[in-house]
This record gives sequence, C-alpha cells and structure tokens, in this order.
Amino acid sequence: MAYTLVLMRHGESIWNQLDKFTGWTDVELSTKGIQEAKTAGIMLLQNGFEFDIAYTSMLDRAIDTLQYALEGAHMTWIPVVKDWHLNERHYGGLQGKNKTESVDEFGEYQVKVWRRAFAIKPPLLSEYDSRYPANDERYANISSDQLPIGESLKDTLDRVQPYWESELKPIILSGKRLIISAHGNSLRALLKFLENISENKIIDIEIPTGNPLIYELEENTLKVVRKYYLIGDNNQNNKNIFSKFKSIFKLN
Amino acid sequence: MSKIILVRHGDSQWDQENRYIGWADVPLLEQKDTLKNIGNVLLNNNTDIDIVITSVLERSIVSAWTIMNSMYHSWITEIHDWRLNPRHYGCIQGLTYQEALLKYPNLNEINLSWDQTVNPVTLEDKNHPRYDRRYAHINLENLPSVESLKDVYSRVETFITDILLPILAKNDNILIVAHHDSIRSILKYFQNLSIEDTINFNINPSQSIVLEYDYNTGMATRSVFK
Repeated sequence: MAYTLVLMRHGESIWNQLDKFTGWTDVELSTKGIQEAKTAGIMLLQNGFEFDIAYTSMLDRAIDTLQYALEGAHMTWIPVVKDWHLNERHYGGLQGKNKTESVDEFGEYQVKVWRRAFAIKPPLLSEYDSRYPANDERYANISSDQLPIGESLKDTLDRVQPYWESELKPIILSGKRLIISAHGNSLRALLKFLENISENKIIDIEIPTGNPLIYELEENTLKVVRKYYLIGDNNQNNKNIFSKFKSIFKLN
Repeated sequence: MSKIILVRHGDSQWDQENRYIGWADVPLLEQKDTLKNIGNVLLNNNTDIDIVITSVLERSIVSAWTIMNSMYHSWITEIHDWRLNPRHYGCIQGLTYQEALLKYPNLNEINLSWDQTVNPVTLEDKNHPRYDRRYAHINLENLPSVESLKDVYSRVETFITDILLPILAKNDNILIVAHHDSIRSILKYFQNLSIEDTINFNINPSQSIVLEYDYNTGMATRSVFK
C-alpha cells in the first residue's frame, strides 16, 4: 500500500494582482484565492481523500488556504501544525516592493538575477527594519540567528530540508496522511527532495495555485509511485466537478 | 496573570431549527459578524493570545478560525480536543425540541438535572461516535453514547488537568472556543460554581466571557471583555 501526500500552493493573494515581492509579508487571500481553496477542499472530499494531520507555514495566505480547504472537505478537526520552515522564500529588502519599482531602482538585470538565479541573495534586512522577522511576535519563540533576513532559492531549500528530514518524513513513514499548504518556493523544495530534481531545473518548476498536487509514495522508500494534479486534463469527472464549482464561485 | 477567554461557537443551521445537536458535526452559518467583532476587540486591545483550543466539531473550529483571522493572528498554535465537545445527546441528537419532547415527556426535567440522561445511541447506530475516525484514538469504554451534565463535567475536568493547567502555569493567555456545556463546566471548575448554578448558567452563541486566572488560588474571576 502506498502513502498519500497532498501538497497545496496557496491561492491568489491580494498582492498577486499588484505584482509585489511578497516573501514573508503577511498578505490576505483575494476573493478568487478563497474560492480556489474552498473548491480544492470540496474536490478532495468528493474524491475520497482523508487526512490525519495538516502542515502549513506561519503566513496567513497558506493558513487560510488550508482552513478553507479543510472546511470544504469537512475535515477541520485534524491536528494542524504551523511552522516557519514552510514559509515562502524570504525576499529581504525587496519585500513589499512592486516588481516594476524594483527594476527602476536596481536595474532589470539585477532584478532578473534575484528572481532567477539559484544562489544569489536579495538585499538583506537590518535588525532595525520593520520587516526584520525577529521583530514579529509570531517568531518570538525562535532564536533570531535562525531566522532569515533575505534568502536565495538555495537558502530556502536549505532550511526546508532539515524540516523535511526530521519532521515531515518520519510522520509520512508512520503512515499518517498529510496535507501541506505552503508557498511556491517552499513547495519547490519539497518537490526537489521527493523527485530528486537538480538545482538548475528546480527554478523552472511552476506549481499551480489552488490545485492539490497528489503524490503516491512507496512504503519505506518514499519513492514516487504516481504524481498528479487533482484538477487535471485526464480526469473528466474532476473537470466536470471543477467547472460546476467554478461557475458557482465565478472563478475566471 | 493568565486570561482565559471563553467563546461559544456561532449559530449553525440546527441551532436555528431548534434541534438537539450534541456531537453531530453541523457546519456554522455564513453569518459570522459577531465572531469577527470578537477578533477586532482582541486586536484593538492588544490582547496577546498564546494558544487557541477548540472542540473537534467544525462549528467551534471555524468560529475560532474566524476570530483568529479577523485579528490577523491565524498563525497562533491551535489544539482541537474532543473533551471540549458539547454534551452527547444520545438518541435525541438531530431531533427538534418538539420531536424529542414527544419521545420523552419529562425531557425538561432531564435537561435541567445534573446526572440524568435520555437513552444512549446504540453501538450499532451509524451515529455512534465509534464510527467517526476523529474519535478512533479513544477507548470504547471512554467514548460516550449519551451524557449527563455531570458526565461532561468529569471529562472537561480531565482536560483542565491535562492541558489547561500546564498552559496556565506558563502564564499564557488562552482562547477557548467551545460549547454551552463545556464552557459551563470550565466555569464550574475555576469559579467553584454550585451544581445548581452550573445547571442554570447560560451563554448565547458567539458570546464571550473573560476569566482572570489566579495562579496562587487556582481559581479565576470574571472580568469585562475588552
């Protein structure tokens, strides 16, 4: 019997439309993002998925996505673990800046490097910056030298890895069925460990929002037996359910 | 000094239909303004909440999420514990007050008693909690099929000893979103309410109560919600 692991990238936030670097900034879901998450939950329920425990980051948009999905699936009662290791890549001094503004300030080439290079850090935050994570009460129990002040994609991967090894993997191996709600880059990290994706390929992997990504993993080895998106091209039934909810929720 | 903020979950469809809900997992209605307002008040008064505890029923969990969301504190650690569930109403769960009264003409007396119950839900009934996987970790002998208020109190008491007191010892503030019966059990414990006062105590949906816990006496006093 294979283990099932479900990953969810949070739905659209109100900053997506503004094209800002979000990172660890706490930004709410847009109406569309909320509806995406609810639909995902209903789809999980209709397809017979069950979970024993949920994991999410410490950021509102991922937590809210999880909550709306669990509400849609009527599985709100499962334990929920919120951990900063699953947070989005920390974008340092770029956080809160519009992408066009950043190009004006730092030049197109530099911004492209920050966005696309694997190991280049964005401008780092000083401890006097209001965006400095150790000034945020939610990270009060974490020693400040552990908290990032600006991460390359590599840094994000490096902080997700020990969490994957010491927390998530043992829980999956114990037979528990996990749902993880997180962010583009923290999920990239999980994909990299699950599928052994190389460093230069991981940056090109885009995970769609609000579409549960289902992994079936071999017992003991956690080798990927099967991987698919719940709302996929080759599943007509799910597509039908999805279009039904799409029209109810008026999704684009 | 630790604060315990007690909130009764918002209205569900069955509340409006005057049905005995008990352990049935009936969703919350969409109207959540009163709950959102609780979150706003907590936010505006900078009340630090260190942990949120709910029952394992959706109406209490979603009520808690609504409050946390409206105070921009969705990230707070949360625990869902079945011992905060409402009273298990046995064989009358799902019936309207009128339907139940036809079945048990002395139902008012039972409801206003400390230790009487209606008949349990049978082991074979699909509504028995043993068929619900959220209770799978509980031994069958500890899993209620009907409860008196006294039964609720004794399981809430184990919750207080196991979970609540260690948190209060750390001086943390706790938000508990639960049900009429579990909330009055908590009040009985921390305020030494008599059985009669516990039976007569009422709290409306989405209503809140603040307790200030005194570590030295192990008791708590009611204070104004702000």
